Amino acid sequence: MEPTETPEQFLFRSFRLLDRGDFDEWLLTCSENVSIVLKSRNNREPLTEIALINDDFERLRGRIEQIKRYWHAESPPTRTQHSISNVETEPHSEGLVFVHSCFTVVATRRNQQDILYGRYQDLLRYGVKGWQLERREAVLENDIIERGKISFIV
Amino acid sequence: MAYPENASINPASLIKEDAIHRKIYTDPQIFDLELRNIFEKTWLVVGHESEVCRPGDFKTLHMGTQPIILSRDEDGELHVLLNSCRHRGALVCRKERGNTKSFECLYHAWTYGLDGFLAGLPKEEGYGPSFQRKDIRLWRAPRIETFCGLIFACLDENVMPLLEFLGPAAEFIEVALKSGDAGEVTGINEYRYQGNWKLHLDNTIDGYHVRYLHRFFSNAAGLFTEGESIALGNGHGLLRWESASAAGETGRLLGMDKSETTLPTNRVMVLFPSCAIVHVQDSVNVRIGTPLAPLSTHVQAMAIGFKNEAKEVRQRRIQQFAAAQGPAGSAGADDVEAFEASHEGFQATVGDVGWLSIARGMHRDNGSNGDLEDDTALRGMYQWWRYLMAVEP
Repeated sequence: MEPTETPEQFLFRSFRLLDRGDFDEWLLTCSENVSIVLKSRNNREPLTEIALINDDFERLRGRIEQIKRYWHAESPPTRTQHSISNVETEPHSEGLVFVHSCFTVVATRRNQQDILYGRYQDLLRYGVKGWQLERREAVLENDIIERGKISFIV
Repeated sequence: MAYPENASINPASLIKEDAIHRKIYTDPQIFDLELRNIFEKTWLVVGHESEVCRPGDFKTLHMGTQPIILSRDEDGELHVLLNSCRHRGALVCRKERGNTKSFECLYHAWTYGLDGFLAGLPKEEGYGPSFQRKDIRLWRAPRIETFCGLIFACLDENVMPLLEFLGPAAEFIEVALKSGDAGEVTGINEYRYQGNWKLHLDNTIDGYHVRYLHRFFSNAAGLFTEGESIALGNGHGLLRWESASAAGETGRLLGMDKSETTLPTNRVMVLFPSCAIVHVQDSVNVRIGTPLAPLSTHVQAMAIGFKNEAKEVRQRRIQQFAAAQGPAGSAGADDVEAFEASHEGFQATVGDVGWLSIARGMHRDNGSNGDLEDDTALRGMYQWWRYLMAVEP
């Protein structure tokens, strides 16, 4: 079975869903075994150091619930724009591919703007549902979280 | 009243038993006096021993608005040095942290040892025969002590002994930070918020907000139950409540349903004025708040783990910290949202809106112990603030 889109096209599409607020659609781009970890540049050790976000599929569902219904920090919602560049792909094994990229997330809310940037190291899986995100290890390069909170998906 | 006569605001008049005036969060004159009377006069938490465990380790920070280097010298002694060259005043260290043998000023290469003594400078003879290099040292905080891994320092020699300052808080620090093995910092989240430095302390010992600000988090049955608000003296305060593992759908979506809590009781504590210690389920963190300006605060949230603990326990601490208390956490993000909403709301000054209530539970507490959702600890904190601020700087 040949993929109908490249890993890069898949990522572009998934960020379009996210930035449009189609969170349920976006969740379908994640495998049920997904792991999404966002670390700040100072705390990179995966097992022994804290993360900003450390989600499996269930906790990711919880995050989306909070974005849609619960977080005061998302009422009114943040408008985000995810951009990736410098995309490099590397075969992993049958049906799996590594994708390295640089990200910039511009987030605007209540007349305040935040720019988060860093790198994604993604593992994508190709199967009957097309491409899906299996694992994302994101490193945030900002020294400090200027607005004190990250109530959106990076 | 010993407050200077030329001042236009008398800080003592801004604190009543049941209310505090919003000017304490916004007024630049109050902010300046807080730096002198509070941050430059009392014990502040400056870090954790594990951050500077080897000889030569250092980190930079601020005590109030004073730029500081915390270093450990070759003999293992800790120093809290003012980060300003004795020559022309520039920072002598511009890194966040690291390991070094000396601090060399970028401007004219005056070089100081880890103990702050001037070790060398270029062309020393240019200062003439009376120049005594050995007498020159970076200004050093006169008081420094450690307790349960926390490093405390004070810029004023005449401060009370650390254990007297901590009082009953000492026992609760031990419970949170001493779990047999030595505690260690397992990572630091750094963030700023737009709002006064006291807002994060208020929030820590405000048990009333949890169910309403943190709707998702408190939906998890068992996370927030019956407990107490306790004024510990010297501005310190504590909330404690019985812990149960977080059940139900929300507990699962937060990943907090599997916890075997390390303690039967959750505790959150303010060590006035610099620090909050949050111990909820398996997550232990120490938040150091630094005032940047009346309306801007820097927070370093240090997550604490314990040496030799099982991998699963460490993983659970990390995961719960991210899911609940961190900047992208269920409770953490909304706390900051509330600080900013408060900060913006405080701009309302006309009419009769000046006073903010701290009256909850006044009719039923005994002055030091109240219900979990009462303002007992908050009242204790602001009476201490009033006491420190009324003293002539």
